[in-house]
Amino acid sequence: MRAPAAFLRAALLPLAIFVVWEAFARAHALPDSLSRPTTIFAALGAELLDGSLFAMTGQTLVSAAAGWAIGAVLAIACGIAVGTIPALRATVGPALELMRSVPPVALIPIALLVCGLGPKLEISMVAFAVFWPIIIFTAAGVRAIDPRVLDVARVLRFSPGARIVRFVLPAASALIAVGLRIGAGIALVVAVTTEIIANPSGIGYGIAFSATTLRPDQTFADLLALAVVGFAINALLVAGERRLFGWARA
Amino acid sequence: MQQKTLFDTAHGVLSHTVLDVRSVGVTFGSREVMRDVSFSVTQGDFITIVGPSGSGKTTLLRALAGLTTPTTGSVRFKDREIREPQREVAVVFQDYNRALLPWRTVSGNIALALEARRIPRAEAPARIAEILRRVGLTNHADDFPKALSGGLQQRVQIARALAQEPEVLLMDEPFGALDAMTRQRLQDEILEIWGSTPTTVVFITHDLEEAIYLGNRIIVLEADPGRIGADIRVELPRPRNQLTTREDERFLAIRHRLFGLLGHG
Repeated sequence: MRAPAAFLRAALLPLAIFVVWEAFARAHALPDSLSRPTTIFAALGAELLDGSLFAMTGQTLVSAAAGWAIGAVLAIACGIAVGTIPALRATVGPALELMRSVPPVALIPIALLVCGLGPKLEISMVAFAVFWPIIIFTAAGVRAIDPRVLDVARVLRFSPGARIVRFVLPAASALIAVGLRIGAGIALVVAVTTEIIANPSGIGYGIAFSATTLRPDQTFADLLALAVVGFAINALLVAGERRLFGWARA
Repeated sequence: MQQKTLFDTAHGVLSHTVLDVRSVGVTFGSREVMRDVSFSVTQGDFITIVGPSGSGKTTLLRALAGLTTPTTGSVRFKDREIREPQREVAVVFQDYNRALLPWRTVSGNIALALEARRIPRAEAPARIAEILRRVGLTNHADDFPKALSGGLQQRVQIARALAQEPEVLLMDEPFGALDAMTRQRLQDEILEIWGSTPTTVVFITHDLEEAIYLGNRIIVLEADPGRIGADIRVELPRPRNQLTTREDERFLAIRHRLFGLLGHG
């Protein structure tokens, strides 16, 4: 299918929903708190024009990206250690599993006590949340390395450090990238959640604020913007993976 | 080609020992894989090792490569005891699809051996081009291994081993997974490479005819536990020829003997 045709087909469902939604709203078959598409798009236009949408989204993205980067660096380092050293895996594995079972959002109250309000709170929440998928994928990638590849590394007499850089990391990189992509989705979720619940900034706060001040049109406009941003980030990362890891597919 | 016939080690012109295997025994847990194996390899020689499965062929090669430490006895490279891989000893594994790094191109895989030797980056391209030319991979320099046939992939692994500029080339059933035509072509190519460099080759195979065709000397291993059954000198003229060498009566005589030794006939 050609790209324009594919785009039209993909737009069919949202368009249909908007039309039905608009019709029901105009017929007063829906509560006013659900607003309606025309009003929502007007609010979206206004927020785009006055720049507030960009400012809010920007705040959220910066916090999410910072937390994601910090969590990723820690998780990749720990994942390599846990993946390469069986004794370490046996020792810390169960404790990590236990911590992983805690829903990140449940930590907001504690994080609030430790960090107070502000970007620090949000960034640490995101870092904590993205740490888990990335460490799991990294450790899995490291453990999946072919023993023959390690034979080659030994025969060529690379130092342990060079083995990690030249053999272990690249071998695990395709799986690490999957962890990073899943982590990016989680980062956005946790950043917005933290903003809605605790941290008064970003698009999460915008959503919460507009809803409590009875501007559901703005709430929906922000949600729409959030969906587009999330979709774009994922598409970008998927495209990046395709480009970088073509070798990993047959 | 194959100039080594001029100073064939059989006549003792070059008789420096490069590898010395002394009463090597290997035990994994309670399983004895190899018992009291001793032999030495002369510089510039082409030795083939044959044996049934369970005769410890691969274990022996790993011991020679420094990838496995013998439980008893020792392996020496020149005056050094081998306890870890040696810079001068290169290995070509059977499973080329696992031994090549899938995230590196053909050139990149060869470059690995240069990086290991800390060859300056600026020198690498010229050296890689030269090696690619030697193994006939010039047109595949930028391909990823997965895009290549088995025969080409194994050539890449051989090229990487050559980039190590080894004194000894250890090959573990390198052509075992290839089709007959490709196998014969690579047999001749490896003889050509051996003949045009001062390299010593130790070549493991389960194919008796391959062992005779390639080697100056065949070490026959017996199984359970692996031990030396016979050590046979191959007095066949070089360059060898896929048709005439295999029809030579000396070839057939060795083939008869090996069949008898390995219990096929």
